[in-house]
Amino acid sequence: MPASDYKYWLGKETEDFKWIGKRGIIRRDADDKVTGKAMYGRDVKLNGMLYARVLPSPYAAARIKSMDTSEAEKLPGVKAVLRYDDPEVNKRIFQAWDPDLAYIVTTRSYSLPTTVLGDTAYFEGAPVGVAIAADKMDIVDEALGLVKIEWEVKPFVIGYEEAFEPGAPHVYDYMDAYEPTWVYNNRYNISCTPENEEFEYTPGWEGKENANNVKAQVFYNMPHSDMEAGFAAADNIMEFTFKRTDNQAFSPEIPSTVARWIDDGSLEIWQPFQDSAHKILGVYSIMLGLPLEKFHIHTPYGGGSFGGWTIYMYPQHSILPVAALLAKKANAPVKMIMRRHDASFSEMDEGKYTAKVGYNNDGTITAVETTGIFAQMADMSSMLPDTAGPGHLITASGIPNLHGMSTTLFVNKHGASAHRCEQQPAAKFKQHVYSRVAAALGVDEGAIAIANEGKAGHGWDYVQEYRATNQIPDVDSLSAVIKAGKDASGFDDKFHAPGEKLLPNGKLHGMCMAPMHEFSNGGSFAQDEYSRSKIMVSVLHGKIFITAHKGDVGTDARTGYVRVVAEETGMNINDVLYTHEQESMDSKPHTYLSGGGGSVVMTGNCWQFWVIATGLKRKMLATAAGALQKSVDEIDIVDSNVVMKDDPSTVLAPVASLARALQGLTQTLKEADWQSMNLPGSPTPASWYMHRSCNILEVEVDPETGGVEIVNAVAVNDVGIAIGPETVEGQIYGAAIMGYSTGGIEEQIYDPGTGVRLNPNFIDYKILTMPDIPNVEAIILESRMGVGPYGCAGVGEDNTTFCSALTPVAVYNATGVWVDYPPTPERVLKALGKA
Amino acid sequence: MKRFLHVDATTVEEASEALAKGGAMAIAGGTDALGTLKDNILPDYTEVVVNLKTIEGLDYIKEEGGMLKIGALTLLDEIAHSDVVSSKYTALAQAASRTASVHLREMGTIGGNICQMNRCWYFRNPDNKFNCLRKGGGMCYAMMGDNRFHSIFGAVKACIAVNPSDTAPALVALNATIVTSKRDIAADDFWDVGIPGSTVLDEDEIVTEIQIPEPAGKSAFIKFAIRKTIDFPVVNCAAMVGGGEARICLNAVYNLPVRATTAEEAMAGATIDEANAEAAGEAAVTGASGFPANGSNPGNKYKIQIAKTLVKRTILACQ
Amino acid sequence: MTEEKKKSGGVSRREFLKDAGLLIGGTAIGSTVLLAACGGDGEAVTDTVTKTVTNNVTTTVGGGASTVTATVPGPTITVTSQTEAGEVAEAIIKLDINGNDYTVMVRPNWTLQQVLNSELGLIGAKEWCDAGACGSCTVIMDGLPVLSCMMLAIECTGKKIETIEGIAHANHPLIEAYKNNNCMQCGYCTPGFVVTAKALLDKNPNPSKEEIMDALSGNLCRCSTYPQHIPAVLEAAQKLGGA
Repeated sequence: MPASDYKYWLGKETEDFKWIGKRGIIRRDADDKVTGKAMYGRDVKLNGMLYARVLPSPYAAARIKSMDTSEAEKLPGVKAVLRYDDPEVNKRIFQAWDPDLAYIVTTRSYSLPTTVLGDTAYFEGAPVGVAIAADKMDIVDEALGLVKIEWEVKPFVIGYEEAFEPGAPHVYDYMDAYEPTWVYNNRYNISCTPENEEFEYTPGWEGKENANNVKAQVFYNMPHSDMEAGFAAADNIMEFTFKRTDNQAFSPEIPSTVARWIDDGSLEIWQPFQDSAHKILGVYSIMLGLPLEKFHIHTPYGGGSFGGWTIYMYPQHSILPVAALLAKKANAPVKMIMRRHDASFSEMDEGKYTAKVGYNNDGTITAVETTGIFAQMADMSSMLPDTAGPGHLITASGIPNLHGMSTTLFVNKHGASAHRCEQQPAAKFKQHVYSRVAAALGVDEGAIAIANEGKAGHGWDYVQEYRATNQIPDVDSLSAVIKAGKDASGFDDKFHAPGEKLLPNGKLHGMCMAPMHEFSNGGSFAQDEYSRSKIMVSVLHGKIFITAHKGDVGTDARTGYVRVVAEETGMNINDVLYTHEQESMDSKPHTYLSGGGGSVVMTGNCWQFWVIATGLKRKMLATAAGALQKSVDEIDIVDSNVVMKDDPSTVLAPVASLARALQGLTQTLKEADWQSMNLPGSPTPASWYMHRSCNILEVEVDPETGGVEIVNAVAVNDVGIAIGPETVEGQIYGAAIMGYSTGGIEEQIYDPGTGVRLNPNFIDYKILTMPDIPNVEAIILESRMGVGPYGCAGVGEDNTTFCSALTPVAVYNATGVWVDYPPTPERVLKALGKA
Repeated sequence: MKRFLHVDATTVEEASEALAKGGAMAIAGGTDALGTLKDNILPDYTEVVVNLKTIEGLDYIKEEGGMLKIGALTLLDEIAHSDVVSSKYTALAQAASRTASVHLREMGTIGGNICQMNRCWYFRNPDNKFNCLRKGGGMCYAMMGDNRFHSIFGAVKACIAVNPSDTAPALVALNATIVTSKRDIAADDFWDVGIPGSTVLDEDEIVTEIQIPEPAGKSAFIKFAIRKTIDFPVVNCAAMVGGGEARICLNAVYNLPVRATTAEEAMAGATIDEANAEAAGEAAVTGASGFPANGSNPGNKYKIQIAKTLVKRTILACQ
Repeated sequence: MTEEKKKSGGVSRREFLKDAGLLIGGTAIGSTVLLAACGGDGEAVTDTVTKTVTNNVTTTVGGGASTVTATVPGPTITVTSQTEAGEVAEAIIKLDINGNDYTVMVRPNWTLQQVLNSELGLIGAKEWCDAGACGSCTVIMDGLPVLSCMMLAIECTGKKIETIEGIAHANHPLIEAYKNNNCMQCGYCTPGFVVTAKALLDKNPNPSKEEIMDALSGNLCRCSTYPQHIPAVLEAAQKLGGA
């Protein structure tokens, strides 16, 4: 479809849309969720269903030498016991780079190697050795307690720096030392090989460290960088190091799965997914030796995924194959539930961050060199180069010389994943570069952002060209969000040099800013054959039905799709139906993953629905014209009526009255010209978001207790256009509050002597409560600058990543001392010389 | 949660009798008891749970004979919102209102709050992974492990867990008496380092009432925690200063609530002002050492600074 | 503790639990015995009934300002398995939920949340933290918002229990207000907020912003919808007052 067909909205005011951007449209999932009717995976109950659990390993590293399950089997109520040495358990170890998985797991990969039910645990709480099904959960717990195991307890390592040292325990002892094959030239998100002339490889661990535990090493070689010259040209050079400890997603819903075998040998499963389910089904297919068409999947509501459930995540997703085997053994449906204690998964930003920055007195930065060493990070460090190192500076700044290296180590911890979102490390690097340069020069971060960020970062020429060609507004959005944030927070009046503002209440006032500019790949919506081929809209009973399988994780994507389909077809929004889907995988279509940046912003899936809605409308008009004996060019559909195009007040017929004629008209994405949604010049068919935001945080630090109190937060986002304003506000609140929580107070703590987690519960692992963050103001700007439908730019995932970077920066502004993440009282008091 | 048997006690005697058989655990609000059972933290799983809520007449707040009497089954929320407690026994009302979360205050009782077991994360780790001293084991894992929230005044019986109660220091500062099914115990003497309990109570002994004499001066309670709600204290402090007397008590800094006796002597009869309060704060942490940072363990020396500050602020709040 | 002390009437409690062939979990009766909302009596189900206890509980509500005596007529606990010392191992209990009597077989270790969810199909009280620290499983019991994951179902007989299902069925203005104010993302914690807010409005029909925040301070939301709850509760309060 030529661009001219769909840029009709360029001259249109936001108010001119009928459903786009309109307030007061109730979310399609609101009633289910408010009334308690919404069925989550945890709530599924089938007739005759058994409950089950896998033994959680009490050790951080251990192997089962022998196991006696006879007592457990005898306990009344126990229906099936599955052991690691049972013949039906697939013994194979699957690894991230498993070639068998590559064809299915197209865009993501494993976070950790795994088996169906192994004899070896690589972290405390790992499902290992034995799974038991019984008719009630208390019997399961008792039976697990009756299993007698002789363990070979093995050496473990929890600290990523220790894991890098010579002589450190080899965490995954069956894996060979890592060979650095993932090396990125970040310019076009294309991997470089050693044959590439721009490639320059320097082994990070040569002669010193333990390469056995290296999971990945990523080099960021921005073309045309001359680091030496960049630093030589700078007025000033600074170097800094900071650390972030482990933190957790702690999704509300405790992972669970339900498996039932049906007569034809098919496996029916109930499990929430965020991404298209088939990607994970591919893994299950190999693990269970069951062809894909034998899976029937139901996707109930999911209680808080935050991106993490888009990948196959051990141990959360590993419980399904175990449930399936138990169900077969017991000849009954089995519901497998993890314990809260064991359902914790690391965020991927634990690590040590070091940077060297060359900068001039006018605020321009000449060169940044980053070195990161991270723990257990999901493979994304190698799959998605934006995630660590100077990735954000490459994609969203004009800094001319950038280079970095990030190394990820295996440690004896549970799987890491990207929760809101994978770019946490890169965001922290960028925020510290800007904040520290700003503090050194006595200005705020806004000045540094404006001095260093062009209208876009490196490598986005084709986006800019596209925008120019299509008359998409070229506004100075970065300045606009900074100004709006400053105005709303009174920033310029309150801002001060670090450590210089003592309030009458005896506390130190601290304030800082994250001006953020995110040009990013919002999801390769058309890259995935399943996604592309399997969404459709149909006319049934005079209404439009959207048919697409979608895992719901709360981002309210469905209402967004409904808005787009109503807007483009001319139907009243109440005549566009999209019920929550719980259906079999091979009979129903899928959409691309339901992510914060990728779908709420509607730059990805939104395009898909835009394309099929416009296609369907053409078919509806053609049919209606025939039925009404009009020319297709002279009629239109407005508010569910077929009207005369030049006089919409003349209703020719309600669409409902043409129900018989229109019945069954369908538009699929497959037959639509989705290729045209791609930006010319783009290296991958993908949706792009290009949103800008300014998050401002104001804290008070008690110098006598080290307590940090959030007093005010302002979040400004230029989203281009807010397709669903209330939903966008929800995303903004969510990003800010979750970010300030993870970066401000959250920390997973391990016993150094055993590697056992000490606080994986909601009493000892603390997330912010309502009174802890009483004032958050969300401000939406709509410049219409985006390349998405209607000028949509997205409400970027990087709100969270930057907010989670911000609290220590505010503490620095308050106290004049830098504190590591999270800035809890012991760290603050220590930095102040009081502990 | 694994299975156990259950008895509804209708009188104190019935409850004592049921508890005397051993292997039993008393339950009132249940917010602590069920946590220990769900996580299966003790070496011997409880065999029978004895419900105290079915005992009538232990739920009251009244002034009688110049003293405040609170039934052991009185909800923390009722204490927090009681006019008489707030006006005269302020520290206790403040402590009750800062305990746990709003929901838990409407479930948890004062009796349960003062009898709760410690919150050491080794002690509480599910499935008794650390069979520590408080479970009859041979060592304190926190001593060599991560002790950022542990004692700053050393160990009692080699255990460095802290008493986590918010109401305990208020009761000590207010010179309360704990009435049980067997005896009257001064708040000063009520807490202990048992296996696994945290009080001097016998296995079959039940708290029935709290008695508090009318305080000579004003009292106050201040809690420092990471969050404004839900959390157990990092450090808390209660004080009663006035009428020539001073009773100051820190908690969550030691296995037992800690009377700051030197500070009390200094403040008895002294003017409540910044300088005196500050000196009292310094005096209160004399002898506190804490644990140094070690690897991933940041240690807990920071708690000394917080304790000092809270003593100062609590005294000032008694003005 | 001596072995002697552990024993109760000659059979240790542990042995009793393990070998007594209890009804639930054993083979005597399948997985769930539920005589839903009909007040069916124990004898009809099994002849192992040994004792019937009438359990009328008086509870003081609202800081002693008013006393409500909730009495459910008839036996509220029918013991179906117990030791000789009278320690209950299984019972059929009657629960008053949203004004309906539910009769359900339970073991003493089952929490109210577990019974609501797994036995009665009332899925609105959600298990999130399973430790009394998140508010997702909140129900109203005798007027107070309490955590059903930290309550034993067997101890809830004779109480008036109100769940999100009842609040929704009555179409309380909070339902509409929560929808209008977009107070949900993943939605898992949302019912817990609504129930807590309902208990607040019952007690305080005209709450301030601070009072709302205080009442909801024990409810966690990982998606961080916090700012959207306050206008919703204010809207519902206004509707209640204006009606």
